[in-house]
Amino acid sequence: MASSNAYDLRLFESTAAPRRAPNRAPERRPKPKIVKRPAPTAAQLRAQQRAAFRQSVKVLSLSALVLVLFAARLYGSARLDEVNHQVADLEDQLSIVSSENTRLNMELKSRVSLERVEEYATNVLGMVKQGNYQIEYVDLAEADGVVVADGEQTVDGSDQTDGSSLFEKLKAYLS
Amino acid sequence: MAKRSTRMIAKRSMAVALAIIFIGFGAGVVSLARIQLIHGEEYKEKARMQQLSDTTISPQRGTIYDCNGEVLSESATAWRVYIVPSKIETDAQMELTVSGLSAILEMDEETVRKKAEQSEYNYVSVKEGVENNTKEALAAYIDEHREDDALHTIIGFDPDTKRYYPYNNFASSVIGFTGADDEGRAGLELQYDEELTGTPGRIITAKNGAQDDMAEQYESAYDAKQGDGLVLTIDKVIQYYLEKSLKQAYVDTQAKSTYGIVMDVDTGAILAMATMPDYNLNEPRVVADASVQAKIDAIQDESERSKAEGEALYSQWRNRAISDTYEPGSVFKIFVAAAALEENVVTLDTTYTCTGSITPSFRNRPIYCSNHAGHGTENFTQGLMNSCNPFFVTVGLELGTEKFYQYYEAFGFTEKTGIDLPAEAAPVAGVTYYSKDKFTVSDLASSSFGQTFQVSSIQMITAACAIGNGGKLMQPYIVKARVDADGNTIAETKPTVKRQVISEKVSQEVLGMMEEVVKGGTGRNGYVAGYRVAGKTGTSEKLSGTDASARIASFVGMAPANDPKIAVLIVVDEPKGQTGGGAVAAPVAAEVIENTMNYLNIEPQYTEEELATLDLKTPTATNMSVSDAKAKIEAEGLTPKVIGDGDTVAYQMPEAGQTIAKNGVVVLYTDQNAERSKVKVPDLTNLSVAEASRRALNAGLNIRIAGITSGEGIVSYRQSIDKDTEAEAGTIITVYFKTNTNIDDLA
Repeated sequence: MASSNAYDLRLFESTAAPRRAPNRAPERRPKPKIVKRPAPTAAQLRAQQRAAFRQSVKVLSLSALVLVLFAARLYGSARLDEVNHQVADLEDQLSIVSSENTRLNMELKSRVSLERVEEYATNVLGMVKQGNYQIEYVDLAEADGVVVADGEQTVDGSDQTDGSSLFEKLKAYLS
Repeated sequence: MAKRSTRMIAKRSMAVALAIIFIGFGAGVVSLARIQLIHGEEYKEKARMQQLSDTTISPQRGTIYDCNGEVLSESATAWRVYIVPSKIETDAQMELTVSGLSAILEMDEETVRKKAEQSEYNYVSVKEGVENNTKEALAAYIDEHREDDALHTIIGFDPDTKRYYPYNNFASSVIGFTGADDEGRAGLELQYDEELTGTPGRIITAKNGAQDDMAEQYESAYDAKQGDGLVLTIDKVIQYYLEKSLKQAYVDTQAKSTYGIVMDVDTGAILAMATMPDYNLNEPRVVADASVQAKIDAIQDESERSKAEGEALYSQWRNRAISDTYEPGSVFKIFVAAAALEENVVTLDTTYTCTGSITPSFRNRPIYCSNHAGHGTENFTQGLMNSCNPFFVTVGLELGTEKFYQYYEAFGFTEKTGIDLPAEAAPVAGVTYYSKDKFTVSDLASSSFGQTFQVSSIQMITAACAIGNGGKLMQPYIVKARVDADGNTIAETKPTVKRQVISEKVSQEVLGMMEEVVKGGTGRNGYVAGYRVAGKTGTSEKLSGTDASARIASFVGMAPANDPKIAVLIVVDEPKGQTGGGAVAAPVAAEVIENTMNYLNIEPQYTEEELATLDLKTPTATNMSVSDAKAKIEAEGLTPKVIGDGDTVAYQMPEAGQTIAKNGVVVLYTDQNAERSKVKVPDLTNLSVAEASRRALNAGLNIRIAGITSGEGIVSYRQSIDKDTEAEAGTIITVYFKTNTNIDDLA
């Protein structure tokens, strides 16, 4: 024990025996009982294999499904793109063709302008303008007449009914 | 050192791993933060530019239709060819570019070369409005030289539009044309430019990596609104008749220009409006008149030449019926007559004795009448028929300055008519007409017979229609309706009455006077068989011109006179030779009126005299025996001529049913294959009706008479088949007649 004048080291000395971790004998966990699993029987093995097989089939099929869906989605997208491209192309073509249509229509009109028509008619076909005496007026008006309900059209206005229908006969019989 | 326990090592390696992870992620987070927060906007913009395409859709310009829906002007997409001169590196490229472009685009090589030599530019437009087939040809040419000369980097195409005018010169001064960028430059294209242009659209689409547009779900489209179409009041057929007659007059009189208007009397709708000389709307910057172009080419000085060309172009684009003013001359007398009758200053029975001139107290020199010897005593109607200046000076002075000016304003001569066409001449007080406070008696005297002031044609015909429709001054208009791209009407113009100028009674009286002018006065050449035409002639001196002998001849006519449907105004500017309105303008108006009346199916009503001179219908003589045929033809009052020895008539000339004049000749061929007898057409101009008939018959030809046929001094002035040409015997030649006696109205 070192002595020191500054400190009364006796206060720090412990009389008790130095503490030591109790020297315990390492506890021994109860040794687990190793029970040997009985070797699987053939039937059990087969069952296991089948179960495993089913499991893997499930997993595979599920992943295949996912893949297929994914592929289909991609394909659809790609097709859509392609078709859109075609649509854009066709629209361009449409606008070109319709302006061609306008151009040709305009050319056609200029070839049948009134001037050309008159020139062709008089010089080539030898036609002349219609003369006023060539117009004849036709009167389609008929003579005055009267149409009576249930009756024939007469000229003098008298009521003549056709008595041949059954109703007419009955009417005549009762009156 | 104590050996590190596995624990420590494990702990430490964990710590290191964590540190790496934290640093890694931290960097990631920082980077992310930087991209998103700091540069976020910038990258967004870049992405947007790369991923989105924003295109403007040009709207299609509206179509212009005539009143029956005929297309007069339509747009279609076309291409603009441009070159990138800065990319031309080798001589071979230059040559290929210049030769290819000039050949395929049909352009001048020098012009193309100049454009290609501007090597500092990246974009020079070569030609606009290139049609698709030409573009395809050029694209093929470029492909040919793609490998060797990379022409595809030099020549390119941009979408453009092209405006088509299918009838070329038709209604050119009215329709106008468009310039670069599809903007209206003249006429209706200019006036209605905003309505015709429409609104541009916009498409925003997402682009994929290949810069192709992606599916529609990513698209935002704002459709372009196509320009409105215009439906005009112009009738294609009436316009054609007007243009044909004006062109003929332009050629016959060698005038500076001829122009005219046909208007619907009741509504103010313009049925036709034309100016000659005209130009091709598809090539507006080409001087249409070859002789004018030749004169321009002859000018040596470059600036002088371009100035002359500019003037020539502006002159040909000018719609003279709207923009030109002229002294109305004697046509104005109808308005003085209307005003005087309305104010009861005169009646139809008022008489006056014309001595050949009148010298009012405030003048030194006399005002002469067209007949210097004097017309003698005449009533008011006869005064108008003779276009007597002294009579109308007297009437005008009687009316007084105040009343005269009142009616002058009422008839619309002090203001623009407001028609929907650009560049209408604006009357200027003190310049084109007298201002109210400075209008003296002396001015009144000369104004009474239409001299010393100016009006435009559109003002004149609008005022004349007021006389024709019972006194209502109508608003003239040329666009009947506006339609959208599908043809649905968006807006429609209704006829508008501006004001009542004169009473119905006075309108009828003046129409009656005007009818007499055409029947027996200076307007006799305006006569049309079967139709009652009311009209007035006018000949005036051009005050503003340098040539003292220059005149303007005009004629205003309305038909039928009892209830006018159309009004026609014809103006001939500086005719050579004959200069009277009655001689030069009236026959033109007569043609237009006759054709228009026929077209409108207005039935002619012939008087006894007219019926007697009507042509006959050629009877059928084919397949008859020669003797029977001859008898039949003679019975009709015609002259048969037999060619061939056969017994039956195989072919006749003229054919059955065709018009033929009395005593005309019918040639009967007995052999179907006989050679048709040919004769030389004689000169049939400057002859009377009888002389022309005789000469034609002697030559074996038939004539059809057009124009006026009764009265004194009738001479022919035009034949439909030129003299000395060969024609088949029996051919009908139309010969036009007019009178030159007593139709002068200029003092």
